[in-house]
Amino acid sequence: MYLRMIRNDLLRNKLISFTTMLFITAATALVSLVSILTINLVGSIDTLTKQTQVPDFLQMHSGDLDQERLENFAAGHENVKAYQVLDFLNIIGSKIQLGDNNLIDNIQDNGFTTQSPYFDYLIDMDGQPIQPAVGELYVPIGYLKDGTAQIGEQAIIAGKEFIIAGFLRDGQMNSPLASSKRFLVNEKDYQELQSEGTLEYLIEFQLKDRSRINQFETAYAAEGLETNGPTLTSSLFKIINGLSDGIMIAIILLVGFLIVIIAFMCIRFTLLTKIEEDYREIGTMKAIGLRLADIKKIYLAKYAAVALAGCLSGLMLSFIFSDPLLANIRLYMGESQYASWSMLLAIFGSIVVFLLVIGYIHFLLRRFRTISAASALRNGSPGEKSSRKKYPFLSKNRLLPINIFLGVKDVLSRKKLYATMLIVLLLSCFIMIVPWNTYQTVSSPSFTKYLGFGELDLMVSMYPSDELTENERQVDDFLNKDATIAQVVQITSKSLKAKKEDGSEEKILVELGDHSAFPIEYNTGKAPAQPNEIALSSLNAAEFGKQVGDTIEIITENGLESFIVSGIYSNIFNGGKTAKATFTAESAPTMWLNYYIKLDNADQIAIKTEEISQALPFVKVTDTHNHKQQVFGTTMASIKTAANIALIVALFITGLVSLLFMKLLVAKDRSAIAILKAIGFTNQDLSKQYAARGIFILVIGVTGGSILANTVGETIAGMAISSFGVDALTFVSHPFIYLNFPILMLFVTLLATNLGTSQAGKIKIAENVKE
Amino acid sequence: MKKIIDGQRIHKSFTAEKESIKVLRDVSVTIYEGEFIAVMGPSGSGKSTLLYTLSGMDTVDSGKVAFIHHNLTECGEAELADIRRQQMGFVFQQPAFLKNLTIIDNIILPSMRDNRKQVKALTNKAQQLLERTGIGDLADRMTHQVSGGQLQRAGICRALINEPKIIFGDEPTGALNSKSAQEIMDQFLQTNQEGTTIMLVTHDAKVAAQSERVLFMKDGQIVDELQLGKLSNQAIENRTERVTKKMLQVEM
Repeated sequence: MYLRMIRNDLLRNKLISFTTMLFITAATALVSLVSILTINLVGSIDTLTKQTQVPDFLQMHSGDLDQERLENFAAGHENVKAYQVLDFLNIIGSKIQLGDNNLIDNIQDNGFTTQSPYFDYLIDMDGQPIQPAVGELYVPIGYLKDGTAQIGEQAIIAGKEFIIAGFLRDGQMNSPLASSKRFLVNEKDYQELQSEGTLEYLIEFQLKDRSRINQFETAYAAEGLETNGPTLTSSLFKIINGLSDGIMIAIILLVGFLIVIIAFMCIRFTLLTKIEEDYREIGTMKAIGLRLADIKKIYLAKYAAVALAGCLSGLMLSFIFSDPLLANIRLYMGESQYASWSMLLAIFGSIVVFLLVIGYIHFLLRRFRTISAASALRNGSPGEKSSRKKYPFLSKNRLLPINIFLGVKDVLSRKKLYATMLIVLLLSCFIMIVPWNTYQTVSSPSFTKYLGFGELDLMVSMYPSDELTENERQVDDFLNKDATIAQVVQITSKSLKAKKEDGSEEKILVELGDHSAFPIEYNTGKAPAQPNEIALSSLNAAEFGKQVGDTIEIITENGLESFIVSGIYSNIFNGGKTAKATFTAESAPTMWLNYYIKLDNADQIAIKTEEISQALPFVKVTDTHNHKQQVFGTTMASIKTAANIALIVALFITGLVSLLFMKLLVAKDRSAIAILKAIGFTNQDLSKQYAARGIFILVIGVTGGSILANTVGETIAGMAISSFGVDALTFVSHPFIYLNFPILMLFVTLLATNLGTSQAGKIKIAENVKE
Repeated sequence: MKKIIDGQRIHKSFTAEKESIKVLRDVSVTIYEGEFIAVMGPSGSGKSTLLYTLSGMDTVDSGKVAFIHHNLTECGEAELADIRRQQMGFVFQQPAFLKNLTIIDNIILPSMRDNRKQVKALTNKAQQLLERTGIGDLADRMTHQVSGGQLQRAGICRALINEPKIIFGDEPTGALNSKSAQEIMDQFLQTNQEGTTIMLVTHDAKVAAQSERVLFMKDGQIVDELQLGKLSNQAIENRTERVTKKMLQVEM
């Protein structure tokens, strides 16, 4: 009997059943996708970490190296499992030619190395350490992804010919977010290249007990060992590897969560409408002695069928869609070791969605208890009499045309009913705006302010050498003479030592100079203005346990000096541990010297870069826009993809729900429509009234959605982006988001309203006016 | 006398459960300006359908309906709506009101579509109509806050707001007790005396007896007609008797 009832009911309400199923499908697909992607991402990162045997602690170092002292330290420290020093031969981009592509504009530190002996292997696509033959070159996987290199092409490195034999995965430097890339060559070729680049060392340790990494770091620093370069740990490698895909997963999770809510709203609306319609029948069933549980079963059975169909198709869809979305993860990191688990988890996720839906219907059906058989038979559904409001009066209305007035009045007097559509529109608006605003924010020029950079066009960098003073003078002369430069400021990065709470000393990289010229965003506080002030990067603030207003002791040329922390900012470069101050420290070792430059005309960046490189061959010129594009390009692209998908999904939801809602509304309003027609309102009048309702709700929904997007959405996006080390994000929006998106939604809503209410004109007055 | 409605050879059928039922079979009827006409007949005789086709609310399968100089059978949907709104008034058996508007707002509703700017004048006019029908103090009530009889008076007010040429009533007293029913009839009579044509469909011989002319329908056709003339106070019992007798003949 149930089967027949379900079938009849589904056929009678095709659109409603189909829409409900569609939302359950979408919700399941997204929940299941998130499970699959997450488990694969985590699994792939683990696999990569295991196969490459990533070091737990890495100190980059340029300059002389005391091998013996390091060996002694490694042998003497109880937590060291393995130790090695690897070469990283940094060759400038212009000397690297891969097929037709030259890396001259590439901002990565491209280094050449040989396969490491003990751990930190560079592996092939099968996860095996690569042993290149003479003349073979293995290229970082990222250059396959962006189309820079292809297998079999010829490569010329500093005049020496190679054949690109394959691509390599690198546990440390795989991600585009990592600032260095390692190329792999044979030992013999490496020897020949050695004179062509500058050598850096990767001092690597594997630990017996990873949880005590902090103690190890402190011990390393306390020994006064080689520290001329960033310090990195294995947890950072994992984060960098997972970030781009992690943000994509986060956006899918957000959209998935909202679609689950929308599915619930749809179920609520259709079920309550149905109950209202069936009120007398339910009363009859109660009156003839059917038990509450039996009546519930009839309704539950139908939705269980719909939910089951939705969950199954959602699960199928997620298996289909997971492949292209996993492509990036697979390419960069290889197969996940938990791949078989992902399917189980996806099925589990789908079951959870199914149970949630059934549970929610149970919850909605509790109102059966309050239906009195007697009053249901006598009076039918109580409707919404109690909530009908007198205001506003038509007799006091001079402002609105009658049809708009009636539309608005209807919404105001049946708020509960319209709440469904309002919430859906509000969430759709939210789904549209948040990912797009996130994309706009990350891709806006001012985003660098969150990364510890001001809005500069060019950065000219110099590294310490014997001619530093002479070179500095030349640079000053050149830059001061150039009339096309709007602003220039010199920032010197010095390595100093600071005292920790426990009395130990820790290296601290301090950028000295005028920090007001290119202001950055401070999470809290402000830029250092006085010589006794210092701003810390958020990682350093955490490391030293400092907040704005605290003091930090730093060893300068005047001995131990106290500085007041004036502000805390986000920074992901240089290991994220930097500080900014305005004092001078002539005697402290200079790490590098930067000139921040703003041009009169930003179009001139490329020309100016070339010009400075020609005139001052000893400096490195960085085009900051290009730099950001290369570091964040992949991440921005995946956010943009997610944002576009979210936009389409939201518009689709808007259209579908509006259509469904209006159709149900017309069915509900049959008698009112007949009355209006009888007293002389035309079909066009009715269309206008429904459009007015749609637009009125849309206006509230879009306004609410925008406000929500800019508050809650900003916080959520901020949390996602905080993994970059950006803490206090403010959305940078583009006017088109707030102008075009509502217009798009308006268009879709009107179209759906028109389609959904097309039946209103066909309602026969004679048959419906009597009800 | 001038014709206000002229229906010629009207055919109308409904399809229910794949079976076609002929509701009106070759019906011709003419209503004159200022007339008060009643239609009687057993359930399913087609009297309500006749009212809906004559007023342009329902279409005909064949035949012709003329309203003054409009050919209703050839008018478009919007034109029909305009005619209904500006020149006709309707009173239904069930109180057909928008539930989210007050009584007075429901009354001015048909007029507000064209005369939004004169809302003040309209409200005054509606208030006068309410006073006339004796429910002046109910203007700002919601529809569920008044009785059926009061609501039906409000229905007459709404029908009158645009000063129509004709008022159609589909069993306007059908849901009321006899006291309320007579009060409604008094309103119709007064309106008719002021010059408005009235066509009522009714089951009630006493209601029909107050009209000038009664049409009797059976099986989709007009089978008989009774000319009663203008109503005078003494004649009502006698007229009711005549109507009842005729009705019994028709039903046999």
